Amino acid sequence: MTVMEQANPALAAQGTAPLLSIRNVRMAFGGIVAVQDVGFDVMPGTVHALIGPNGAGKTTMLNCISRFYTPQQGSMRLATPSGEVELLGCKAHQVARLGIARTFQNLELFAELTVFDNVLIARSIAMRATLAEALLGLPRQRREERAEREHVEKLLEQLGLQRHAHAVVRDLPYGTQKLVELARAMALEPKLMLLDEPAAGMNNREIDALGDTLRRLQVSTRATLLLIEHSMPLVMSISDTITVMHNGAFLAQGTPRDIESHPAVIEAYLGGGKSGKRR
Amino acid sequence: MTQVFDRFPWLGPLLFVLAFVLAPLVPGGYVLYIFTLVIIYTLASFGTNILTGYTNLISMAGAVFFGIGAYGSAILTTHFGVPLVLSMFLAAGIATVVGLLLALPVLRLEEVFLAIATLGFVMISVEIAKSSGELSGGENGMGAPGPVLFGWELDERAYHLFVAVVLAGALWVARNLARSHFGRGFLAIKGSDTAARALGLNTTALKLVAFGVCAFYTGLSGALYAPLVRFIDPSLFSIMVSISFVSMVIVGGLGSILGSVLGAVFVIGAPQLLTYLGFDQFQRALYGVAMILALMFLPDGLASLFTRKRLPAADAAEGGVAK
Repeated sequence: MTVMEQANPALAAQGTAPLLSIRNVRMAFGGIVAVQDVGFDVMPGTVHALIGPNGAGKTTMLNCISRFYTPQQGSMRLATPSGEVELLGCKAHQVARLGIARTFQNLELFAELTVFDNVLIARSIAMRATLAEALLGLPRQRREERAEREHVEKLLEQLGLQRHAHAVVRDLPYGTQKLVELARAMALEPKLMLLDEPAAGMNNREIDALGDTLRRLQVSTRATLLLIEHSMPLVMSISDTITVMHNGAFLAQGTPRDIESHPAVIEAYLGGGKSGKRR
Repeated sequence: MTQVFDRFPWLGPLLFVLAFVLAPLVPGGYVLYIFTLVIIYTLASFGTNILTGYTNLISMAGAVFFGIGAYGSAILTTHFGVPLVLSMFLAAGIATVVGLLLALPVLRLEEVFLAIATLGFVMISVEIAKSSGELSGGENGMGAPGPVLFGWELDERAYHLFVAVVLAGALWVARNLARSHFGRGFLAIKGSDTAARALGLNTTALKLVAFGVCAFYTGLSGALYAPLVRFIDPSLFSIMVSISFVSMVIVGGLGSILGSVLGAVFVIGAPQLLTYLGFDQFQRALYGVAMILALMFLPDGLASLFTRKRLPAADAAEGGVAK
């Protein structure tokens, strides 16, 4: 990505097909409709924020994309080198192997394992050795094991986590755990990274640092980021595109500047009791 | 004690070989019998540990696999003239297939629900064993031929060594598995099934592998058991047998290979030792007390006596120095 394109993300997106194309998604739990008729495109190489008041259905959307949920309706098409893939036809682990990684709002780390093992587990996607090769410790298994261990070491170094490599995740401070989860998602070498509230629980200085890390990461890995975030300064500073959801429905989409001054968005955030409704 | 084992990693295995493989050869007889039994059960303990300790799936079907291994080997050798070693691996293979078939319908269940569902399999299998006809003697059970290896009849000492060699091979394979991406996949499922799937792990397939490995090891354990006791009956398919396997890994240490060994020593060895020492009457009660004490004071299992958990503080200090 050139400097010019970075400065004007609309340029980067122009003329290219969307990486992820979401249409008419409806997700209801029993009688409660969490997401109703939501659709938007995520362009490759962009930072795309999904915002909205609590209960807007943002996390539900993410869970549909990573296929922990099965929407009753709609389509979610992912562009891959071998053509478009309908994510509705995939299982959660297949979605990951298509190049979609994610982090979780409340951290889903392997708490009893070390930082190194947490990240190494993600590298299983690169390991081809069969069960028989693993049982007998055959050469390919040992070769892959060595290569992936080196890979993880480098990755941890890049994120400044090497000094925690052999610490058990449970014993680390919350902020470091969030970074470990990010490292683990990055280890999948994803094309699309879904981040669910990466800044939750961080103070302002940590949020600034996170913004830098995310931007750097996005440039160095060329991954597309789709993030849910409540910290408006972070969203406004790093996003190319913002999609706003409200009460389970699509509300608006545009650049940070568009969204800042969008009347419906201002109404949704400031418009009284409705926006505070939790689900 | 832990520092000593940290510095000399070969010390543990060496002590095990001396104490459990070589020393019992001297007295022979009943003492040797107990130690052979401990080694045989260690194999089942390994299998159960892969399933329960690594993958966090609690299965009460252990007795089914153990029984299939024992009956399978005995039937194949007596009725079909299959050589002993081949019959053992065939029987373990049958146990594996049965394990996979049983796992399929219950894999979606978790924790206690899985335990109770698998308990059902034990109840079914004991009835099948009782009502089977001449092939396995029904309720009366059947005799199993003593150990013969390539035409040589093995005496108790030779069989003990044979069992030890099988255990060594099984240990090596279990270690390979534990250190591979499959082993880490098991640990990932235990840590967070959600995260494991988000990282591209096919958790259903991995759980099936864990069930298969557990069934194979437990089946092999049963197949080694039959020639030792030379008589088997449907009581092998007992819930107590299943419980003893699960107790082994919990008392020994979940997710630890050393724990599997120590668990088998404790669960099988301790009651036998108490009997040997003349506590026949209170054997069960003393054993129960010992089990409660072990879990109270060593919640991470007997293995935690020998392996030190890496302290995060120590690790941070190391990192600090390196920087």
